[in-house]
Amino acid sequence: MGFELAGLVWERPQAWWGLCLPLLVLLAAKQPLRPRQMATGALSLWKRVMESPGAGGSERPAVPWAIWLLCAGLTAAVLSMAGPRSVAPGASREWVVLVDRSPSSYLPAEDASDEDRLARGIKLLEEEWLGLLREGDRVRWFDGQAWEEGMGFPDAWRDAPRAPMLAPDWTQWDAPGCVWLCARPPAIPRAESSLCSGGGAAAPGPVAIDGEDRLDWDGAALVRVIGGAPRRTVRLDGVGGALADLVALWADERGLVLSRGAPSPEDVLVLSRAGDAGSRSEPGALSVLESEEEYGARDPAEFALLWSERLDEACLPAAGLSPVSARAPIGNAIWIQGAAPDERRDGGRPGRAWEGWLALLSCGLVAAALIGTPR
Amino acid sequence: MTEANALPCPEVSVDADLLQRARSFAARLEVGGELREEGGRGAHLLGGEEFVGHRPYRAGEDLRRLDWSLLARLGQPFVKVTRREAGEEWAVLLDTSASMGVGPPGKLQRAAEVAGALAVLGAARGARVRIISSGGAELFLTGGRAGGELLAFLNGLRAEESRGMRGLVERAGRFRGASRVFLVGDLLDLEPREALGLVRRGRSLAAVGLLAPLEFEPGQLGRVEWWDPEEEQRLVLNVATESLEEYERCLNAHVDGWRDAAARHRAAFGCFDTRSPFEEVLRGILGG
Repeated sequence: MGFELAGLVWERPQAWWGLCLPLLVLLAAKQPLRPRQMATGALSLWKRVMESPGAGGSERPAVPWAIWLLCAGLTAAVLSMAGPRSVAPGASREWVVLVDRSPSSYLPAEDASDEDRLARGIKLLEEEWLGLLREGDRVRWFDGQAWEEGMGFPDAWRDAPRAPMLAPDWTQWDAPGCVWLCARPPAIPRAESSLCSGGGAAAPGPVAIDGEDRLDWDGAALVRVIGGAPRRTVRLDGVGGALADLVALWADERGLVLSRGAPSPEDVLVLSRAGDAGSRSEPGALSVLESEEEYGARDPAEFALLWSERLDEACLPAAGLSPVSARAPIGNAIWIQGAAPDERRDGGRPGRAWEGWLALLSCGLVAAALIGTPR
Repeated sequence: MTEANALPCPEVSVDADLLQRARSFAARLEVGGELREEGGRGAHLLGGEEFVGHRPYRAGEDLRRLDWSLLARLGQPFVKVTRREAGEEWAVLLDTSASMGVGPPGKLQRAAEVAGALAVLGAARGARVRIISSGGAELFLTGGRAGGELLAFLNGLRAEESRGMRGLVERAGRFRGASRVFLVGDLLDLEPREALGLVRRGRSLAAVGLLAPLEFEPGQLGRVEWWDPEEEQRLVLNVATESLEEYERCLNAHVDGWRDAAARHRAAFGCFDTRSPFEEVLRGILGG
């Protein structure tokens, strides 16, 4: 932990104790300057000497310049050991705001409210945390998967992701300069990071789909809505062959509708022909090579099993579904201020280090002192 | 004088070796004196052959002492009587003030050796020798005796108190009969005219100035607090090139003042480093 003084950050301020050393050397050098006491019968002659102009007088002779050089060299060495580093203007601190973009964050904060829990958390964050920022501070946002940089909350993150996300791994980010932005306070101990929790009331709504029915949570219990399952489509974009047949069977089994038309909000999976980049799989989308559409020499059962697992893995749940635990009330908004970012550990551009130059200066001064020492 | 400011060499230590060396020196000087019969400074100072009168010649005496002109005029043999034969008194004034404890070698030690040697020399020449210290001690040697009594007196001297050579000079009545007066000290507290006032008809004077090496050639000592053991005065000074040159000028002026004044009064004077043995000091004064 650095210590800021005289426009510099000192990495090891305890080394300043070493300044006692040149001080002791200087005191020791002054010791011999105390006059020697000598008896004489010629005091009358010395009186005449003292009264004569330009005879030296009784002024204290100066400490030898070699001693001054030595002390300066030692001082430079001590300062070098203290690790001085200039503060890089405007880029010395970095904040990392971790954003919980799990489905719970996008549920309404209150009944019949347009404001979701995340939006309320952002508002609280702007009220409490923006004032802690210094000019030149760097702010980075992380949702567990992607990074954004900027002073304001990333606009693209205001809407819920189509594929449900997990909260970030909070335990990895309990450090000075970290801010946890979430709907519900994580159930883990927090030491140095700040916490901004939007909170919220119960959010009744769809919880799951069971065949053609939908299960809703009404704030107290689950309610089956007969035939209330939303339409969900699997869209085939240029994919054919045995794979298309398999997808049709797979979709029918899960109550999904096959589509070959334009993209729709009801799409829970899109299969498309892969380009030169090769096949790709991500939540809600699969790109398939032409060679993969037929099972060819392979075992058809193995083909079906493999693709069935891939399709299940990539298929998104219906939009608007959230588990009961997410819809449960989570209390009031909370702001707990943690530690500010550490200028030496924040990963920002470090200031210029002076240790090397001071060490060089120290060597030069001590060498000059040794050369200048009377032999 | 505080214990922290103790004098380096306040005491005297002499033994029979001093007497032996002094007697040996006196014998050499006697032979040398014969050679300087024509009149060197030493011959004048000791004045052993100074004419003071006549007495009838006794058989067996050295014919060189016969006054041939008187024999021619009177027809009777007479010999010249010298001061030594007539009997004389020497006074050795010894400065034992506190400043004589400076050294090493200590000024009082060397001064005591010089005084002792003078006593031996005087006794050998048949003179009565009176040694008077500025501290008030006094020794009167008659009948050519200069032995254990002299050593005991010298060993009992101590550099202390503030009374110095000036006090001795002012007590001139104590040695009014002395035809030879020797001043032995550092002579720093005395003006030449004060000492040379002791010179009168029938009396010779020799002044021996003894300075410790620290006073004679201090060298570059750096910062020094000088203190005067007699008056407890102190002076802090950086003893470096410039101040040393000025000190040398002052010391030379002091010594030259003494030398010129002594020459005007036909007195002997010498200034010596205490590193010089007493023989060298006496040779410088007596020319032996």
